[in-house]
Amino acid sequence: MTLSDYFDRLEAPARTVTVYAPQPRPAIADRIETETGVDTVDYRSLPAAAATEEGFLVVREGAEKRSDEPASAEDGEFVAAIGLEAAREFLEPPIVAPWAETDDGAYRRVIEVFEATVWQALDRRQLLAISREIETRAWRVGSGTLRVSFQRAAALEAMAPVYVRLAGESTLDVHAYVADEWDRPAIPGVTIHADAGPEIGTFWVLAFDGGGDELRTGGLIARERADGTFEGYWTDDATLVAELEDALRDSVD
Amino acid sequence: MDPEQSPAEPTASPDLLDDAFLALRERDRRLVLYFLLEHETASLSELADVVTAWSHADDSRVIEPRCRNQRYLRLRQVHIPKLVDADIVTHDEETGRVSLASCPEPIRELAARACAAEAGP
Repeated sequence: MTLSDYFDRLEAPARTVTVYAPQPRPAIADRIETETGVDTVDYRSLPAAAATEEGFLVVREGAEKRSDEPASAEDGEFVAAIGLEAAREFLEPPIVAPWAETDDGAYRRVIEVFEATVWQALDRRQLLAISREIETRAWRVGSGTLRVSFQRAAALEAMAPVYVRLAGESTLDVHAYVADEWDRPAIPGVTIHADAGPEIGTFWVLAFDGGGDELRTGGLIARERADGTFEGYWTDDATLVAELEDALRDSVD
Repeated sequence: MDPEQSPAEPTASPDLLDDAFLALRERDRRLVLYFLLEHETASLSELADVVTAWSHADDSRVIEPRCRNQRYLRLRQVHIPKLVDADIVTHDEETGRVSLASCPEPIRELAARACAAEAGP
């Protein structure tokens, strides 16, 4: 199975997001509607007396849309909820090093909320934030295998210091896949699979096997679109991450 | 001044106020009332989502299903029956819908003031 096969087979559960806030409907509801693959985004007002910071969103799964009522409000199983202030942070995420101590960044939690959702229009900054989340997990576990793909050699070169430290200060096995040739110096501790072929050039992939801990696995796959944004998906599911690793290895020419 | 709303004539009996303050004594019950003031009726399931998420809206935590489900049970077994006993809400067990229809006006007014004081800017 190649990365293309893997990506095309992804099936996101039918999810609804309901934004609760005092009138008017907050702009974040529209952003979630256009930027994520969430099927339905609803808005339900909170009393006008409530402060706008009191707003929150609720993610539900498996709701059946009925024509006469808002689907999310009536059906579907609760998946997660988070305050709108924290949700907004994910749309403009801070990028921190994997070993940074600021581990309670709100965006990390929002990443969990939208885990296993196919996003339609992720930008590079958001993908970098998700990548850092997976790398941070790998850094904390300190063992296991981290696989990362790069569309261009220059992109790997720019990230080299991060991976040198990740590999050098842990027993992590770091594999980097590059679509291009790699004619630069070796990166200590990092196994480079250069000239890996067009599949690698099409996708942004990261996979961490959890180092034996199924609760710490993490995988990200995103495909660049014509407008420079990405369709993407990330998951903590150990089986899906293992399949992603297989697809990554199978895609190397 | 509206003569029928003269402050000299109380609009709520002591019993009614007892009920109102009993209803408003717990935050989860207040949040139920605030949401129903806006929508009149909602499913118990949505009320559980709203009460859980609203009470954590400002601490940037992700609310997980376990936390929400505990809240749901507590609403169903404790808070909604108390509100039903005080004739503030009705609960249709078959459809799961909770409605504010029977709520006396003075209790609505108190709840609206509490909402502004507790959840306002």
